[in-house]
Amino acid sequence: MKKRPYVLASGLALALAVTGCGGASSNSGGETTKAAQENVTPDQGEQEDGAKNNADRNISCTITLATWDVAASKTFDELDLEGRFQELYPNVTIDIEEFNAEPEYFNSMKIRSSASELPDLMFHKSDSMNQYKEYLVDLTDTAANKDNQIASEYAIDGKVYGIPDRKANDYVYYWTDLFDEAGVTVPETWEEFVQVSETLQQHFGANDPEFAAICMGAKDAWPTYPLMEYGPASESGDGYYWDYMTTEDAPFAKGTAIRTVYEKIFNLFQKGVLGADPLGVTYDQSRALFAKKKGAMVLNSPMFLTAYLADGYDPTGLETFYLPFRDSKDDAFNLVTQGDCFLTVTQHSENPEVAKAFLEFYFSDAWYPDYIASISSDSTMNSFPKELDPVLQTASKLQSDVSFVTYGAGESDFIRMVSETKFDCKELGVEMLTEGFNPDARFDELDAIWAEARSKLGL
Amino acid sequence: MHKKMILTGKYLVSLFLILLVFFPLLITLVSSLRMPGSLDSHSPLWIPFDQITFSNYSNVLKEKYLLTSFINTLKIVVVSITFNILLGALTAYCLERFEFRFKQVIYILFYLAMMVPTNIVEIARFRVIRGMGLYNSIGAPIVIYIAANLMQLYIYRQFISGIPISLDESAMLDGCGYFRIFSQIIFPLLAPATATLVIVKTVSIVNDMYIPYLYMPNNRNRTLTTFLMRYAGARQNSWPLLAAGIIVVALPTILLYVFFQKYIIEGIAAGAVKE
Amino acid sequence: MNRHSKKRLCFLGLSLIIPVILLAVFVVYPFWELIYMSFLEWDGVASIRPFIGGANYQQLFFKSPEFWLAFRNNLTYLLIHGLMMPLELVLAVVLSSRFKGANFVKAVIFLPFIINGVGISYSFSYFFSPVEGGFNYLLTKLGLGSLIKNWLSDPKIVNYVLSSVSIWRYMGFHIVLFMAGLASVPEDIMDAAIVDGANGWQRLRFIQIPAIRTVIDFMLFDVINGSLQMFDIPYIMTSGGPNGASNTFSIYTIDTAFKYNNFGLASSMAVIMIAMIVAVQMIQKYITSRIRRKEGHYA
Repeated sequence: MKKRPYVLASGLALALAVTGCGGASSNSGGETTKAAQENVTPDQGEQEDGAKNNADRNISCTITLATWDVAASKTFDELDLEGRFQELYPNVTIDIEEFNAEPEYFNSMKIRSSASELPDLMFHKSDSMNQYKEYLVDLTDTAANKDNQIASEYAIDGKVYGIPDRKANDYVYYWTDLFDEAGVTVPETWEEFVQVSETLQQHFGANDPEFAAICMGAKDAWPTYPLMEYGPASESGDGYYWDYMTTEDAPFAKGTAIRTVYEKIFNLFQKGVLGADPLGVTYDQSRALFAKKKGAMVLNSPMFLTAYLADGYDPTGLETFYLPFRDSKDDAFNLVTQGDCFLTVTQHSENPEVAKAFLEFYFSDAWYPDYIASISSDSTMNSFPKELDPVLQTASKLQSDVSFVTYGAGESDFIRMVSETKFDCKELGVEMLTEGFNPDARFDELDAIWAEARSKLGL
Repeated sequence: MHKKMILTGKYLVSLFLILLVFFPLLITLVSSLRMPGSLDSHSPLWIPFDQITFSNYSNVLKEKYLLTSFINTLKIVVVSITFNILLGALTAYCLERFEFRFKQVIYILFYLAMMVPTNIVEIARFRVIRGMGLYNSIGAPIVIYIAANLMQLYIYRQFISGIPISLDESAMLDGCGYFRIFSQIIFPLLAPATATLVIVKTVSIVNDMYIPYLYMPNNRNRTLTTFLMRYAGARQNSWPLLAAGIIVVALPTILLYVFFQKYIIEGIAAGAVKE
Repeated sequence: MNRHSKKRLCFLGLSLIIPVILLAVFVVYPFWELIYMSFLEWDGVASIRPFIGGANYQQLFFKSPEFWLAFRNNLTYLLIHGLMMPLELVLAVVLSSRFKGANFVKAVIFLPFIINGVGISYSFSYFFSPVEGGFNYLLTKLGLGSLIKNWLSDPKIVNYVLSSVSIWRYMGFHIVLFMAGLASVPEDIMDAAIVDGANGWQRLRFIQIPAIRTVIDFMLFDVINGSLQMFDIPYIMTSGGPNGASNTFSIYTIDTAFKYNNFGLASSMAVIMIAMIVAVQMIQKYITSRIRRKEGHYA
């Protein structure tokens, strides 16, 4: 395999030789060839695998860090992540690989994992960590883990593989003046929420066909997650509901938490409160619409606020409340919360010690406080508590008595079931918004597919 | 009278086609001059002069990796097309003019390769590239374009079959070697086809998104297309900013086109027509 | 072996060795690997890859309606491009006859082919957006507001909208190719036909079309390949949505591999897809050659 680059070289030599018509004298092309080759071979320097000496401070190498969070990647630049780390390790360069969005990020990582080409450090979701565990380094003993509030909740077989750099629950962002004008107040039960949405839609939609009571951005599918993904966990109070489902043959049967909550959501969608063309608007467009008050509410995480402010929009009059899935005010107010952006060290790293040192640095005083202050999500580190943005604080003032449900996106059995059944709750949300969706038939079908997959996988 | 009507018809058709082409482009151009995040409703086709801003462009031009992506794209295009042309012409010449063992096998393999959809074979090709240490370097797309982008064979074979074999034979009688025949007689005669290929391939390589995207995640290795994708990912809600990005990325090829328009269209014509 | 044939062999060897090695390493071997993987159950990550025989193919043929939907969508692109070709030819004939500004028109319509496809796709996704989209704006201004549809989110029309973007992008390229072909028809033949009283249609049918056979062949080859491999326009504009309605072969296969972790199944899809492309190309070749043979009889 090693000889391959010479294919190129001899190609070029031949190209030169051809013009000379005579015998191929590859010597003449020799020098050019070398130059050309240097252009095309990676300059990542493979000579530095002598990193066994426990992260020598003067080690010179490149550490790659991959993320799907474009906003965070921008922050890395603005707050000079590399420069700060170089105060500790002056000769280490940090190469940030940023991706557009999660799906593309994980598509690319999957290919790379099979080719042992993962970056030194990469961010994970709670579920992806599970899938990649055989490629990740055990971080249980790191100081970052010990100081982190929730990392241990996501341990796999007792080992912590990733440290979440933020945690968050979802909010409903809303315009107070639109609520006042339509004469509605913050809902405390699902029924009230539906009622409020309908009233808003009727009040403002009458004059403005572009108005949507709830700006969803469902063209991107993923923004349906506050309903479709967190709904079952909130309805059941079980953050590990997906894992529970892998033990059932008919998880979508009538009366189950997921069926109940999906029927609720479907009924909400049927009322037209997502506007005239809910599947035609992207998440980013929905943010712009909301800023123009062509929408009254947005369901999303604190990342929405980060993006909204980064767009330069004005937050005056913007407040939040928690989305109530509950049926009555007497029920507990379940609020799903999740750690996100788990920083992990991969086993493909040629300098695992430096990578680990970077991770410790990332969650230390030298970086983390400034970083977490620049995003809207909450801190996960005991040493660096954070005051939430005033917009987000309004929700906890309205509803201080919540019971937190820590969410897990599904362990390996669930991932296998998803591969087998191609079940994707967010796509199901899109389906629900498509004309002619028949919930009863669809849920029965899902049950049948589910049962078949379980028996195939021997669960 | 009749003639006049025909002429009017021609102009109407032309006008329609021009509008069809320009309308979406104009919208992009107008949007790129608008303040990002301006909230008032407006016509997508018109912007008052006092509201024109170039800030979207300066935003794009300030991007750290724009120049790098441009240079990368340039390198990839130049190297892969050079080899494509040379190897393609040579291969087509051999397959068209000579009879030899396994010719049929080789021909069929090339023919199949022309039709194999690149995006999907990557599942398997990835390991090969990685095995050669080409991953995350611009060598990866270069090698793939050279090896797997084989449309040149199709055009060159058409072309060579149109060159009378007596030319080769008389040159042979004059004592010319095969390499000499190829380089001094055949290859120059292929010039029109080469022109076409250079154009079509430049366009397809500059615009390819999947291979650079898959093989070169590193920021240093962006091409114009992956640059645009990343840029769009970060700016998607701001259509004016994205519009400026689209235009900046499209500009090199558009400029090239504007300057060499006559030759490009003639080149396309010359290469494609040959019997 | 005489000197001559030795030289010949030397030339062939030197010329073909590199292309053939490249072909073997980067096309044949991966293709072989693809076929092999189509008989495995593999999630793309695990190190164990059990052999499961034809199960992937079985699943594909009997239990994957989405795959066939994606195939149908590709056929939509093919059909629409195919239907457009005669129109493009007529436009080429119209533009070929000399008039002032013809070259300018030619230059303009070729422009979309030059522009970055990803950029075009982004532009058009805003163009067809329900919010401040240029297309809806145009319709409203023309008093056709009632025709407004959910262009990119209605499963019934989304593929036609996407195909139209593809048409927009390639139409100029095709017209210019046709024009090039038409320009090669010797003028005296055309003049003679006019003198003989042949009308425009007859001239097109019996002189011009037969004369541009190569162009037509090339275009068919290009259109079939392009349509069946369609990737960037739907990927950027709808990501195959809503709900898979605008998936194409390529998008769906890549989703199967990466999103649903089923590299085995994805490989079997790729194999089927390649077979389809080859089959369609063969059919096209067969049909055109038959038509031509028939024509030969007339002449």
